[in-house]
Amino acid sequence: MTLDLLALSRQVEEAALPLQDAERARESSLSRALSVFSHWQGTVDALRAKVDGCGAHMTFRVPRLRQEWGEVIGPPGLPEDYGVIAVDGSQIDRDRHAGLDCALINIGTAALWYGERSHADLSSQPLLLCKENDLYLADPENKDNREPIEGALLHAKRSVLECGRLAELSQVLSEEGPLLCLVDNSLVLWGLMGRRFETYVRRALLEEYGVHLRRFRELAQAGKRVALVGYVSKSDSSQVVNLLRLADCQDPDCRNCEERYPRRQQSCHELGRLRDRDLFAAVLSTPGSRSALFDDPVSTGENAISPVEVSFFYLNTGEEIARAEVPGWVADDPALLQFAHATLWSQARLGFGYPVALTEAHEQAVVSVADREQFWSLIESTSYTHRLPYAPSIKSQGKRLRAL
Amino acid sequence: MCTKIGEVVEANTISFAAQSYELHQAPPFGSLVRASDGEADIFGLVYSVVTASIDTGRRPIARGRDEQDEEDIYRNNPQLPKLLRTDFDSLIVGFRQAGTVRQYLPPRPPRLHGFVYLSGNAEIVEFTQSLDFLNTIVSCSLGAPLDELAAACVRLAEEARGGDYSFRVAAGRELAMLLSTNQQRLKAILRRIRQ
Amino acid sequence: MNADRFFAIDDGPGGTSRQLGIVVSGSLTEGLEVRLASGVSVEDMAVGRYVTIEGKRQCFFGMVTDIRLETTDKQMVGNPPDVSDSFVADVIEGTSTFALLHVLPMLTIPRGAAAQLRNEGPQPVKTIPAHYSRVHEASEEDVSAVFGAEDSSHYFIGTPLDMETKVCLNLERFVERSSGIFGKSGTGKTFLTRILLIGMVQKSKAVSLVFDMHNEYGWKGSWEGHGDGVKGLKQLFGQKVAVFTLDEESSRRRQVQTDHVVEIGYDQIEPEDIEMLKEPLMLSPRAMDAVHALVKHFGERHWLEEFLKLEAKDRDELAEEIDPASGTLRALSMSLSRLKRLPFLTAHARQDCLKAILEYLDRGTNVVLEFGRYQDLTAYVLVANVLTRRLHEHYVERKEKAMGDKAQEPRPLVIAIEEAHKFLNPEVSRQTIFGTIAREMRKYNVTLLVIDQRPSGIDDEIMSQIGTRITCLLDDERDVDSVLMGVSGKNELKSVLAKLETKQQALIFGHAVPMPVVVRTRDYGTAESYREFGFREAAEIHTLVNEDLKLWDR
Repeated sequence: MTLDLLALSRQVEEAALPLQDAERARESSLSRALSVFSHWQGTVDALRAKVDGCGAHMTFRVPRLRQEWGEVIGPPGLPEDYGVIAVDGSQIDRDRHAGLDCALINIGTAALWYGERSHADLSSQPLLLCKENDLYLADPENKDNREPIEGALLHAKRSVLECGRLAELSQVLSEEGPLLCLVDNSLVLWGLMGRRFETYVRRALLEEYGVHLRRFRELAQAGKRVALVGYVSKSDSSQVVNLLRLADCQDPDCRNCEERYPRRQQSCHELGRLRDRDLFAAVLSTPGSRSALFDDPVSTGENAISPVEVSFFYLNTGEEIARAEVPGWVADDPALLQFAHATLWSQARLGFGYPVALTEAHEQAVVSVADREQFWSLIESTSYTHRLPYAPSIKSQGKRLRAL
Repeated sequence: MCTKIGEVVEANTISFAAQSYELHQAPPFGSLVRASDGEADIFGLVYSVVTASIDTGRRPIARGRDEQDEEDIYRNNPQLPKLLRTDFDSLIVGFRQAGTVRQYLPPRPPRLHGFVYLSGNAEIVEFTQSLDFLNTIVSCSLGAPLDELAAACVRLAEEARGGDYSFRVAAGRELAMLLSTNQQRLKAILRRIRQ
Repeated sequence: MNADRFFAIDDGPGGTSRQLGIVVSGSLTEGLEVRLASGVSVEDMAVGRYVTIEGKRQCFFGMVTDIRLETTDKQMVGNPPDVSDSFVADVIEGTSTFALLHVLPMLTIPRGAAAQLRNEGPQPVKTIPAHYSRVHEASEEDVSAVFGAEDSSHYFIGTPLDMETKVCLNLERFVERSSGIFGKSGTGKTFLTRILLIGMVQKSKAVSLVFDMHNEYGWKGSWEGHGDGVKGLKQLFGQKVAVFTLDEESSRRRQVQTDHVVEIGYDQIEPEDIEMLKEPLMLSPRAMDAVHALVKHFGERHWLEEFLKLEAKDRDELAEEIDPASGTLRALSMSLSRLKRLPFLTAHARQDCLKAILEYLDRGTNVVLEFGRYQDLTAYVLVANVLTRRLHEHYVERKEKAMGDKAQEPRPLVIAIEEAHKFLNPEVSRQTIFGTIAREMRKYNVTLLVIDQRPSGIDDEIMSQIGTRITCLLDDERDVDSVLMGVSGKNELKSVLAKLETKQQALIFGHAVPMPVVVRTRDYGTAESYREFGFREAAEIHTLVNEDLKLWDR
């Protein structure tokens, strides 16, 4: 049946009203934030000291400063010849109502070369997950304990595989020139966080992920100009805003803050309405300019959620403020960082606000409804040919036939 | 001398569609092309050339506002050639079997994925010895610009003959008889042949 | 095959004739439409020309009677294409634009061995050729085949338009029936008559009697622009022609060799002769009654003589006796006394000229009767009537006496008269001798050769008896209708007739030709033309004779 738009429109109207108030409030927060921001310019050391001093007592995460945090860096010049590789993926999740237990991950790749030998290679690689190891993560200490790879876990697995493909390609293509390597998400696998998954699950995936990430480091160490960037569009992160809150707070200690300082809480919360992208929309007025580099406080230790150090900056792409995450070795290499900034900005410009290589990788990865149907048909016919028991459930048949 | 220029991607009794091997390099409108059904050579006249996105959901967007040359657009967007294709449609006007050229519909359409060749001068001259194909063009029911097509193929055939005025007149006279009761149409076609 | 090739020009059966086009429509009664092939210019076509049509079983022979321009799309009339562009012109000529000839089929010439064996000549057309039969210009051979070659009975009269072939009249058939030469003045009737008379003398058994009103035929004739004029029959044929004259003085002045001077006596004039002169003498019906009364009174032979001798007083007395209205007799007397002024009329003729004429005719000598000065209608009508009436009697008698014995029958006679409508108009034709001759005298071997510029004045019934009609340009529609009366294809021939040139062109149709033909009449008057007729100048003959003698001497 079709969507009852009439009923829905009423609900949408009702939702809009409070958003207007929120918008007004946001505007006042922003002006407050900007004044705090400019106030604390030229005080890197003091701020860093403050962060180091009380970071542990904060309930929110705050990034570490590398440089003057108000710096705005315009886009540097592009090299003559360079390449951009991007990967993106899509999946067909396991369907318990289908006859066969399997999942599909489709990884799309776009390799675009600019300059003298301008050319492009677009492709996609489907991976069928149907073996035991592909579909379940086993607890190494308890064979009976296993996690089915589906939903959020499948998504995380896909990100790992994408990174692996990217590493594979960059190993080959780095021979031909400097490379910008892009993924369409944060470099940190946030999906694995939280209590949802048991430690062994996280550990297994992060280990695999780490292997891929370190291949990039090896390339960099071997002198190849390879810059890995995780591109986050419409990021909800508010780490730098948190830094503002911390800076503005006289006694940064969230324990019993409410009791002790009712008024200051107000200011902190007011600022807390903002996201980093709201702040930097005002700070980065020129398209192509980026913010200062910040270090993400993500831990890489025992309970590591990231195999590598991660830093980030914000970039005005012309259409939005995007968050670009780079691994430690890129952050520490000014030339490489500059290369990453220049090429990322060029990609965004060519792609009308979003990196064109990621768009093409996405197009290669996309599995259409028709493709989906064909996938299931293929499964079905193969099952039939090999006389495998393929008995789709009544529910799935009903879904597919849509009989009257 | 015939050059391989494309591959049949769709075929039926009266026409076939081919994808050009090179982007933007389809045969000119009105040219004679040749495909095969496996046994006979099937001749067609190109009546439509389209360059468009491979994916019907994606449309080309203007990218050259800040570029000086059109070439720069392709250089700076290397993915474009991979996402575009040039296709051309041909009206079937005859076939050659056992060395004899016939200007009526072949028994079978061309094979899919068969090569499509652009006919050279010798082949054009051989094919256009009979002018019956003009009737096929003029009375065709496809949504093609028929008058332009008739004029274009006469122009090309004349050129293949090294500029033979008598051929042009013979073709014009054949058209005059086919369009005897429609002088307006004849006039329009003759004007285009002349140029 | 290209449609163009279908219309392309091909060699005809004769190999040399040009193909003009193909038959696209038509009917037997209305004629055929021929589409001209591309490459044949419409301006090369002419009305009156001959074409042959190759049917499936036979060959048709026809005449072009109309030419028309056509287009395949009616729009082109209002919106003509731009023919200054040579490409467009080359494309549409013969395709979108084309010409149609209207052809009147007249004869069929059977083809094939069987027909050859049967020796069939041309037949009148009874059917039409099949669709798209090829049409060629008639070749000279074709025309000869139809009209016959020149021989002892076929007489060369002229050439068809734009051809050198000789068109021949069948003279035997020509003299079998009465014939007519028509045309408005100045179109060449006299020349034509001369040519025909020569032909009759040379090639037929008939003998002719010419009532030469304007002194054109006997010794010499006039030729516009040529002071010397042309030779007359006597100059050409010598003893075979006898010239009679009504006016000796005039003949002498003109240096005409005459054989006889004609006198007519009053005793030879009968009431019917006077009846013919009703108009010129202005006689009322009452006057005619009076004439009959006079005849009753004085007797046939003497009535005129006696009446003219009467004094006024005697006349009045006579009037009282035979007719109470004396005014009538007085008027009659005045009218008839005009006759007294004609010098060739006397109370008693010294010689019976009619007997002389008959003797000449019997011998096979042609007779030309000159009128000298006396060129008015009264003299002409009177003399022609008187003489012809007596000829008629003579011929009837002779024929009846012969009673089927051909050897004893009189020679066929052709009487040539000018201003024929005066003798043959509906009012008088029933009464005059000429009417009678025209109607009946075929069986007595006497026919007329009428020469006239007002054929509409001639009685329709008489006209229908005129077997062969030769007509030059006529511009009065009534005259045209009259001449073409009863002819098949009349409408087409009308347009052909209208296109004749003013001089030396004539349309000939009827008994003596297999089909209507437009000819440019042969020349007459130049030395060359005389030689063509077979005559040599004296000097030339002299030279030839000397050459012959020289040969003999050897």
